[in-house]
Amino acid sequence: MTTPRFPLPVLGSSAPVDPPAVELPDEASFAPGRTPGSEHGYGRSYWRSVEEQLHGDAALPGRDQEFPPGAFDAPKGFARRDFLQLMGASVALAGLTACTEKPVEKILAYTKTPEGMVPGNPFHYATALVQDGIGLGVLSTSWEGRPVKVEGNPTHPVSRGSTGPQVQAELACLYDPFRARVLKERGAGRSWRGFREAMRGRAGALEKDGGARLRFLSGPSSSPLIGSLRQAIAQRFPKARFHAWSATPRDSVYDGTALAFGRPLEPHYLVEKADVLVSLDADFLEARNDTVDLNLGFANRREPHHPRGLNRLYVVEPRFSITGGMADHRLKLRSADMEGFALSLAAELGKTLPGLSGFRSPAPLGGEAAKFVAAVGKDLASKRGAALVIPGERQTALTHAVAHAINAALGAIGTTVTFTEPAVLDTSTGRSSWQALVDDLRAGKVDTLVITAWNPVFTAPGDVDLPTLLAKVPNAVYLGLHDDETSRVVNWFLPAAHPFESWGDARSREGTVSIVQPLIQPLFGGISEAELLGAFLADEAKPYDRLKALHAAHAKTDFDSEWEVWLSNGVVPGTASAAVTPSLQGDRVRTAAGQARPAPAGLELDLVHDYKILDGRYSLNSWLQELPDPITKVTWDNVAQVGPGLAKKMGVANGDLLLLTVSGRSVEVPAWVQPGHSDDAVTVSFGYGRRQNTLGVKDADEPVVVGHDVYPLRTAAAPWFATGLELKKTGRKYTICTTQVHNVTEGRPIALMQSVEEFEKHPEAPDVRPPVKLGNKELEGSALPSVQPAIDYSKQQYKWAMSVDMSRCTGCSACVMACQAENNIPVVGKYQVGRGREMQWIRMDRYYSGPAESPEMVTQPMFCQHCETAPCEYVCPVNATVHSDEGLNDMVYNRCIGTRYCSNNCPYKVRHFNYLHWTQDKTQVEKMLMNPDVTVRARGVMEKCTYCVQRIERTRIVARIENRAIGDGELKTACQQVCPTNALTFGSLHDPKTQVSQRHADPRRFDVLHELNTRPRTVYLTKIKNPNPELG
Amino acid sequence: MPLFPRWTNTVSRLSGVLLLALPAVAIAGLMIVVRSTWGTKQERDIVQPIEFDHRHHVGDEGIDCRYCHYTVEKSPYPGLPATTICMSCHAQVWNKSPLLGLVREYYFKDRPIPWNSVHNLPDFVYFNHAIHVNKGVGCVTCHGRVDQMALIQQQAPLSMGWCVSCHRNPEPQLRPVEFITSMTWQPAPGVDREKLGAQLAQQYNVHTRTSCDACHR
Repeated sequence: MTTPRFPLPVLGSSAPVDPPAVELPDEASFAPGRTPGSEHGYGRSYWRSVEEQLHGDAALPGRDQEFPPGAFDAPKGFARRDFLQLMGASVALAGLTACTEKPVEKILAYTKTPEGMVPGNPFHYATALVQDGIGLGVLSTSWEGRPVKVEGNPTHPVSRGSTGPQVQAELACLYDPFRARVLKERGAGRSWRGFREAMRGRAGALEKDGGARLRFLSGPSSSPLIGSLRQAIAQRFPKARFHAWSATPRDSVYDGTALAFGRPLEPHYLVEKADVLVSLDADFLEARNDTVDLNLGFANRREPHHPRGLNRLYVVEPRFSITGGMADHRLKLRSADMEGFALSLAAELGKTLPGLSGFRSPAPLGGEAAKFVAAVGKDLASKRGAALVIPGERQTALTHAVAHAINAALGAIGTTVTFTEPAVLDTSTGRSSWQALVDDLRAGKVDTLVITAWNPVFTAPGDVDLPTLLAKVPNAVYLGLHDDETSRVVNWFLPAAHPFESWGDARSREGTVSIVQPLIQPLFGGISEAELLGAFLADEAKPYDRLKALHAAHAKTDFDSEWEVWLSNGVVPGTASAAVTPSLQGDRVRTAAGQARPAPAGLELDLVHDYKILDGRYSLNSWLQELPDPITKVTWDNVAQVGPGLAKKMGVANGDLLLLTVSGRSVEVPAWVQPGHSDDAVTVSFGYGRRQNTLGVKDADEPVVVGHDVYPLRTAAAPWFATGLELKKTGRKYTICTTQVHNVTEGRPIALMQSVEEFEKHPEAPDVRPPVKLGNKELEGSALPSVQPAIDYSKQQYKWAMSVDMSRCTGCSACVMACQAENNIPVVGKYQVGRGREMQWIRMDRYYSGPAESPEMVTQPMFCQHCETAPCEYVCPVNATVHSDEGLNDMVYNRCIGTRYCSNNCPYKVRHFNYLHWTQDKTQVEKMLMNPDVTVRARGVMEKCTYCVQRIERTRIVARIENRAIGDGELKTACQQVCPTNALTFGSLHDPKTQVSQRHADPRRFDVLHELNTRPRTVYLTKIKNPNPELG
Repeated sequence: MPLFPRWTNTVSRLSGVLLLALPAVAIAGLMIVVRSTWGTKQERDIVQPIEFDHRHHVGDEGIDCRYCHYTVEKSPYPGLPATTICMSCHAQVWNKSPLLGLVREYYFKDRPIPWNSVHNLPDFVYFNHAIHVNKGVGCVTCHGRVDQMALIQQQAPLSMGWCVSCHRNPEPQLRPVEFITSMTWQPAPGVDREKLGAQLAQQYNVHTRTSCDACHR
């Protein structure tokens, strides 16, 4: 017997297929020029991982195999062919059992149909979802009282119809069967009434000394309702204290404005108006509730035909962030050196701008940084009134204050940055608020502690032993969605109601109030924060009544009718905070700056919130866990990102478990060699390392630990970065599952990038342009031969197509989540991702270009291209994938027999096969998450992007009943609708005026792998960069 | 004397024929069975929890289909009447009838009536009532003479071939939308059915599609 060339992995073995470790050889050079050959990429070459950049495709794990590991999985033990021979006849006989009657299906109608309800047509309710206290207006698609999809609210000033990835995945939290269901006192079940009676007695006792022993620990909040409840509690208990805690505090934003302007203010960056932007570690393009609108403003300025031209973005940061990926120039700098950089920039500008005289850097900057500062300073000074410096939340208050001083000197205040009073209730959710509570707890001054912050035992800094402190509190109450680390150490645990299950309100970053309305009865009897706080008041009003009473003041004429309008529109008009024009207190900033000291040298630990699960509050959300990180493409894990230079020096490769030690506290985290990362810092995201059950993952019936907990490395004093990191190799390996290198590019340029200069010089570059051009009948179909007969699309009313503007795309991955929610896409779990079986229809590809030390990044959402001559179609033996008359590449699940020929023949590798029955064994609660308009696929079926055909058909039927054509923009795919930067467009090519037709005719257009003559309907627009010639 | 008698030739030929014919007959038989009314579950009485009689409500009383199936013009689903719709009449009419005891019970308990589904499409098929009704396909065309059914039966085979046959040539099935719920509408005498169909197809802008994505999503 010969050894098979491709060893077959065996289904059911517990261990995943470990990709062979790729060690970086000592002689390896990270210099440019050793990149895999790629012709035609505007002279650039593109690569996706350090291994690939060094050694080309050959280095990729599994490269010697034609198919990804696991593609040949066969049951263990009994040979398949023997089994078939023996069982053939039995199966034929067993087929007769199909002749029995199927049970009759029941149809249940309403007793009373709710007003306006048309069963079969969904409602869209306006509500708001909160992230770190900041609300975002959303519309929830609700089928017969069951929310199944979240969209941004187009009338909301920040959302404008878009959301980030977490908001899309929120429904997986709502329908999480592992949510807590029982109100408990020390582990024993109790009722809500029992709790309130217990609290009433307690409150009476506490009232005697004015509530001096009563404490509240809440998360960040902007809710006017919570604010009014706090006031009412403070009236009854004047000595009670409210503390706010967040693992991602924005304290430096408010402390920075307090230092610069005398009082805490909320800055609003109008990035669309800025020609030159400098980000001091500000990740303002991450699509969070407070930055969604910044994405659109920035993206509008990345199109060459914008009347004011392209903007230019400089990013200074230790790690590679989403914003860094969009930068025209990046400078790698430790966070500890950021103050010094900001002061150097101020000093540089101070040479010409009088407002900045007197600033000086505590330590001179090195060669590269000095050159960078000089160029940036010159660029900023030349764009006075249209320049902007944005400081990051992770940076110090002084960095913020200096940035505000620079902005003031550049004339940015009032033009590219405005200020309002903060919308949040607490401007301190970090150290100062936290320390006061910890001191009281240590002193035993607390009798009753009401915790509504998310899981503080888990998120607490490593220097505080919160479980021990909480054990000393006689009456600790915790409200949470899950039975978690905190619920185990408190006296009372209350299951929380999801925001989709309760009344409330929230304000956006710029102050607009949205009413949070319940879309469904509490699934597990949850209690809202407002109800819990109400238990400490004498009156027993319901949150809904309190809410109405509170907002009656906003009404201009008739409150009741206006209230209905607010609910249906999702915003309360006239509630945006008024802009204030603060005056800079330059001398205070100068004095503070004068006390800045040079940062100590050494390796730095940078802690960041995770791009997917934030501070860990979404750690149980399997959609987000399986979402590949926008930069590293790692799923189900956090990693210690190390720069390529440091990795080489230490001999560290991906997956090596590292021991990170700061001030005597250590954790183990697997290494990830991150191109473009600073070599003086190591970045880890927190929120991982919890032992958890996770929804919808087939292999994980038992709770497992996902990722590594790095909260022990944090201190309240240094929540974001600390120098003095010691890094040690443990010698052990850890399996990291990432999606980006599941396929190979064979050195072909897939995502293209060019500088604006190159673009203007050669707007038509024939080697990357498709030979088939719009409107060129002569070339159409004849440029390259095809085995498929040409279809005449002119007879149909629509010719569906899509375009992706890569200049706009930041890679935030909100589209991946939107697609997952819209199209009932299952999650598969980490081990299956490791086998290349991830099911997300959108693969957010990320390519690097240039040297590993400082690469540029291109992101490219890749999904079914709906090729006019689709290679998948002519290899399907059962016609399960065929072309529609309007140009869609249809996937007919009920015909598919699972040969996977189509996937093999797809040059874009966008087809996903159901290797297992992922949707089997769903609980009733999980089933409620399914979109009834989309088939739930079974095992053995191929699936892929459908251009949201269910939306096309629904919109078509509405339009046809009204005897009109579908208008441009009336129909949006899920990915297009959510996109914060409007990078995606969808529509019909028959009308040359549609946005998609215009983008198809754009000179930047290119078809991916056009040389194969697939004639994709989805086309891409090259990414345009605007580099500063001075920085070369 | 040959080793085998002559009749064995016949036997061998016969077995050869049978060997070929048997699978063919078996396959043909199965195909006939799935296409038969038994295989498609046509014309089968489905017993309902409440003895609701369409003969009486549609035939005798002449109640329009849309009085109860009120979402048929705007939703994929025709809409099963909410119990309030039953009670809108039966609070006054036959309000003591033992036949309606269950309706009253479900109504006052606020529980849905568990009707048995008669027309079952596979889960991967998305049929939309609204577009058909708005483009001139009458109720009776697919559902048959419900005014003559004591228990509702499935009249049409609901097979893909049946769907596609009409989608390929819809004109003979069209009628003016004013008569969409009529059980007895016929073209006026002397009117050419073919011409009328073509005219209605144009008037209603009927545009049937046979691409897979029209029904499968």
